[in-house]
Amino acid sequence: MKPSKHSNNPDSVAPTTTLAILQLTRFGDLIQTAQAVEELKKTHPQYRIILIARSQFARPLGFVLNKLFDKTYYLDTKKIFQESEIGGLKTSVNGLNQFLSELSGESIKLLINLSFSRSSSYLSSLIKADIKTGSHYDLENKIQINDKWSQLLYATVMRGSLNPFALVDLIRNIIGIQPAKNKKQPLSLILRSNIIVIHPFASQERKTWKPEKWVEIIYRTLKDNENYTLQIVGAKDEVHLANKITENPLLKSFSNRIKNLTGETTLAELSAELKKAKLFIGHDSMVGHLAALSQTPTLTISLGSVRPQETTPYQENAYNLSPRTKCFPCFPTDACGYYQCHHDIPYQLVSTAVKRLLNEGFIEATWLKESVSSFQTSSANFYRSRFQNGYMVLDNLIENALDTSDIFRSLYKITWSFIINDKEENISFPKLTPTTHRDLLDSLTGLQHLYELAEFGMKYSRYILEEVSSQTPSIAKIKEYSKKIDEIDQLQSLVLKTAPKLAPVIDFFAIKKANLQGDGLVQLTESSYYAFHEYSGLCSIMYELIENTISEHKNTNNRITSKNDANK
Amino acid sequence: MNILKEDLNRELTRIKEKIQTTTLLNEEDLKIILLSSLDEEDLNEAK
Repeated sequence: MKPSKHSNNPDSVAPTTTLAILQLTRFGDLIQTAQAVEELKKTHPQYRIILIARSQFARPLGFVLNKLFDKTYYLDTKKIFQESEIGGLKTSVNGLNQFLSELSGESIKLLINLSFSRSSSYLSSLIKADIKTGSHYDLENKIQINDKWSQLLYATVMRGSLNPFALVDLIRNIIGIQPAKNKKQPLSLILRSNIIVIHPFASQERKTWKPEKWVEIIYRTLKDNENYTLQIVGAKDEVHLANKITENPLLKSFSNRIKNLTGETTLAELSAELKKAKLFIGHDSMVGHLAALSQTPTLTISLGSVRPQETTPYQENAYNLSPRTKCFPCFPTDACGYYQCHHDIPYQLVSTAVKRLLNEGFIEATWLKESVSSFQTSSANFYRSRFQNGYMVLDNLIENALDTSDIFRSLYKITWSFIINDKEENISFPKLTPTTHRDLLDSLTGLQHLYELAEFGMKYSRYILEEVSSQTPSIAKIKEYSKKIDEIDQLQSLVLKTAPKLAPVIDFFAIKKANLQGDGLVQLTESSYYAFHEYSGLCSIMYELIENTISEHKNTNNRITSKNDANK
Repeated sequence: MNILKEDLNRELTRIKEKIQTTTLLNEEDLKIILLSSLDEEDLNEAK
């Protein structure tokens, strides 16, 4: 065992078990991983936690990661591919072997792959560990995802807007971190300077307002808040966009209150600036996550393919403005020429919210209702985060009827927590509109079909097992039953057409079915039987939840009708 | 085309054939696929 670096502290526990986190994706994901690991480090000092990350993302974040991880292994592709244009594949295999040999010095008990990219899944396969979670490939080149939270992440994240969990909470669940008993106390901002940090950029055009819109917000913010100065931050490749903002004639009279730091700070320096500020405003990007790490209040404007429930900065009272545009959130590959979602959040709403946050530090639903025109709020959602049962939830502060996706996210939250963690979520019944009521009724029919298909799958899995254990098993019969099971996939896709909100149920089952455990026909069929069994249970839970939601809606309507009749 | 690309293409064709004939891959094959994925990701990153 290696000596603990905390060995001078008599209260510390020497780490005995090595846990490796594999996170090959970008800055934002690394910061969110760090947020999840922060709690693990506090509650489980017996773990030696190592990180395996790409050099270009992990090194600039060393000021965050080095505090949390006992060691970081940097996968440096520049080094690996160095000279390979001349030396060929052999040179890069040598480079990779060198990296793997460094890692082989670790005795890894548990390897958790959090990145779900093709490369991280193959790398996970090559790292020696007693137990592996997350995705990895087997020697048949089949992807293996064996733990339920990773299966859920793989089935729902990037697959639409129905994942109810923040990415940090999903990561925490994959690692197995229990919710914190003591809530993090909000930091006092009294000692901070009157600085607002703005990052008006994001990785894609569809997620970013045009500089002109930001000019309007900056103009209004500086005009309304005379004691504040504003810092624009960003990367080197965003300098030209920042210049477009700062050089706009409308902002000329405020030039002494605008500091353009774009392209001039390291991430550590940027984090230090955020720690001094009273507010951060920006799109979905890693700067918001850095702000959350330093407990700087955040106001995020989510556009395009951003899913606020997943990536709103992970802290209490993080504010998020997102459009109520029908196609929001879209997929990164969807064609879009107009970006209607960019127009559905008026800049006036942002500047009004900024003023309130700077003056009061808090925005309530009642204030929004009383003080902000419904013209400004009619096409937007305004969320505020809070923690419930250890999960971050977003409450919509604008009083408007929930849409079908909102309702399904709540139902899925209850279902997944129950199915995977055996935990009951206490969420109140949502108010239904005629549209959401109709959508729920359609889904009931869809769930009924899925339930029948799951029972059908159980039946034919059982037939195969019976046939195999008979004295003279018939190959023809086994083939016939297998064919019946294969038909389920096609029938499911028909259900999906009429009840698209059931996609997470179908996708979760598809991942489960692709990861059946066992060798040989008997073990695999047994595993298939249990997968269908779990599938039918999942459908039953969702069915019951929807049925109860509709009943509650009917009861409420009846109560209102009776009350009105009594008043007549 | 540089030597790395040529080598990768040749090796990937060989691995594909193995997969098609349901022959089990070995660690060296997995390393080739990993390097090809990393190379591809680096290329997208640079765009």
